[in-house]
Amino acid sequence: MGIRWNDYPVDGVHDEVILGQGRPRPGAEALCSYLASVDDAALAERVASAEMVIRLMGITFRVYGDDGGSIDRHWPYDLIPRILPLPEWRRIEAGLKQRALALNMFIDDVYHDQRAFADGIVPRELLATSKNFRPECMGVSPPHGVWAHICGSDLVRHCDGTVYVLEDNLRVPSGVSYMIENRQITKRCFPELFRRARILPVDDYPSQLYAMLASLSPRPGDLPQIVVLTPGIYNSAYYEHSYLAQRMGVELVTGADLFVDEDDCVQMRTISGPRRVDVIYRRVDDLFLDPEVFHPDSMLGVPGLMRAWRQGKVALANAPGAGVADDKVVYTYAPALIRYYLDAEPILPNVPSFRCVYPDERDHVLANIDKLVVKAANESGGYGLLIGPHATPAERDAFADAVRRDPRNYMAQPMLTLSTVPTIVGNRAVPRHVDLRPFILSGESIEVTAGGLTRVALVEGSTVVNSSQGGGSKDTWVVDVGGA
Amino acid sequence: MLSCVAENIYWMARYLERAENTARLVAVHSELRLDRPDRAGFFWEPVLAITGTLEDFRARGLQQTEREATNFLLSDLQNPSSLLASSAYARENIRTLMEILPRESWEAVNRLHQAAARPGAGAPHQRDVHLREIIGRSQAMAGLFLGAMNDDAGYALLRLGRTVERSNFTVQVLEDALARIGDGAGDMQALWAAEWVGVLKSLTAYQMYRRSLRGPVTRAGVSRFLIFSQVFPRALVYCVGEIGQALTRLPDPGAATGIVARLSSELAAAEKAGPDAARIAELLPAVRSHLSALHRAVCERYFISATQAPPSASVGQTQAQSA
Repeated sequence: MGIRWNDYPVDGVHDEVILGQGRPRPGAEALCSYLASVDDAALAERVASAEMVIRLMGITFRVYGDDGGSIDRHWPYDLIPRILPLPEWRRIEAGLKQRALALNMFIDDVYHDQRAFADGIVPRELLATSKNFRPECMGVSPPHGVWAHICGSDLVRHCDGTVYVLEDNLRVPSGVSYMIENRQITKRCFPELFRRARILPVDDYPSQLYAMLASLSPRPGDLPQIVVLTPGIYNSAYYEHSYLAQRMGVELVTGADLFVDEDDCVQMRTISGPRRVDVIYRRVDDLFLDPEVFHPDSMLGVPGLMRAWRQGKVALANAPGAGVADDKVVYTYAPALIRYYLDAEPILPNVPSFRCVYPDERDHVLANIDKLVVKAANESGGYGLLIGPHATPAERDAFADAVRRDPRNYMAQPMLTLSTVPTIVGNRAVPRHVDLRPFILSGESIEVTAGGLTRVALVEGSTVVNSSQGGGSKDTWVVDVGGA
Repeated sequence: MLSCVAENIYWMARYLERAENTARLVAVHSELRLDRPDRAGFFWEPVLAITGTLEDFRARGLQQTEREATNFLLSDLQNPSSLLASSAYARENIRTLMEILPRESWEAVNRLHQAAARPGAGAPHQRDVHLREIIGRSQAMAGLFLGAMNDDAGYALLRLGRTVERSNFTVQVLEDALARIGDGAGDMQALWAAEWVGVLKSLTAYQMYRRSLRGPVTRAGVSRFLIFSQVFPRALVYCVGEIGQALTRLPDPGAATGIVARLSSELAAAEKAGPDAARIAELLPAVRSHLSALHRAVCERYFISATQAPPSASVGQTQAQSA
């Protein structure tokens, strides 16, 4: 007989759907009463049909194994959505726009006057050791002064109910196609639910992405030739690259499809000869973009691409060097950067962070390493991370040594209690920790996806939400609660 | 259209055609084996020869048993022409073409590949049902492309890849048959007739042969039908016409057009010369080498790998070798 919300535990955590004693949060009423009304067999049938849809739609991602090989996995999806009431979402959205604006101003500043360093907002030595600062980008002025055109910021909610920014992904953030597909799956499996609640649609993203990319074209007026540059089918996010190209109606290319001609224009090889390319949505990392400038043995890039970009003959999104702000230590300065560039208070707070580059904060980290989460500046996907309370003494010692050797490269944060969302296990709903990755598009204007990708740690008690490490995902509903 | 997309469509069509051909060839020989339990030598050798894998089979030291041979032909991933390898390559190509091809083709090739990979499906008691399923799924994909794809350069490359693979297969089947299967009256007549019927069935030509040429299935009739028919889609004359038409939908095909013209005129001259066994025996290798040249001309004109590293091309090669 349905899901019994009275038995659902919410002790000591913030649950995104259930307030406590089985009562739903605002916006979740229709969802909860519906799930309580379907019996076990019907629920199992919906779970099975969701899996079937995923197989048929061929929604996959690639996982790299320990043996160096990789396999294609079907996308892990849980059918209970995460709920965000519209008024709260509007505030988060404003906070994300503010943050993306300030970070782009910071990147532009880094590659021009470096005012933030001169004014002592950010210590200059951060740049000297930054893995993602690209001296090759100095003096370049991309259109609209925007470098990080697509930003995926990870948000988490602590048990006190506060939503914090955990990190900003400014290089080649992925996951947006799964956000759209998750909605498709939910619609196919639970059409009834969409009649009972006003949920903001998410499928507009490819058009917004196209419009943003088109606004970067060096040949305004003409219909711009836009391409998506992928490292190839063995990349973990290839499915997404193909999906976005298809939805935007643009070509999906690899480095071998492109070349730079004698006028430093980028051309793609077609069966009718070369065709000029105006905008490249690149999903290849900086260091593989151009073997003439970066890794000389890169097979993924295009020789001369940086030359073409520096002269403004092609737009690259995200711009090379944008990753300078995608650094877990630079992250800690984001609130200060918002105050500095925008003269405004940050709407969304950072997670309180200790910067090991400062001796007093480093000593605090080393003394409390068993209570903190320690992060390396430039790792992603849950790698290069120590979760102090869960680590063995040997792991803690190894990380402490690493911090002492290269303090600039580390920061630490208190352990947060991530909020939960009911997740189907067997035929019951149990709490599982989640985060949220909205995507912010910056071009002529700034747009934010309605909600984002909710990632869920499928293992009980775990907070590791990365799909490469056993995480799953959920549909995310921004629900218009009618001013309530 | 991107050169790399063109290349992947061409190869996808070749692999799908190859998968279907291999499945049909193995199915026909599995049945033939029941009629010819006494045939001298290793029964599966002709099948290996036709698919161009005999040398590889020998080099790997595999045993000359039905089990080893059918496993090698159907599900051995080390054999780049096996049914499983062909469908896997077709699937990898379609993976890169998802934004070009009808979305259903991705679902369809996943089903085809899953069927080809099903363990134990090639066992004697299941083989017929299994191979029928493979053939049906391949044909369904061809129908999907026909009905749901723009008839543009992409579809022209698909037709080109399919027809180059198809005509080459017809040449191989016919060359093997002419060298191996006798003809005429005598003790062997019934058995030979069964083998010639097998040749037709390998090319799904039996029923259409009957409709075109009434009377017994003979060596001369089969070679005439499979070479000169202007209406049967796997006959060489028909295939050359199809290739010519596909080329007209592509931008400036260059050398390929000349090769097709030479092929057509040589076939026409041979037909005019009448049924001469020696002449036919010379014709087939010439057709094969023209098809190779055509394949190279298409690669060099339209694809990227050709412009970067000229392949040592033969028609039977795989994309992996050409890249």
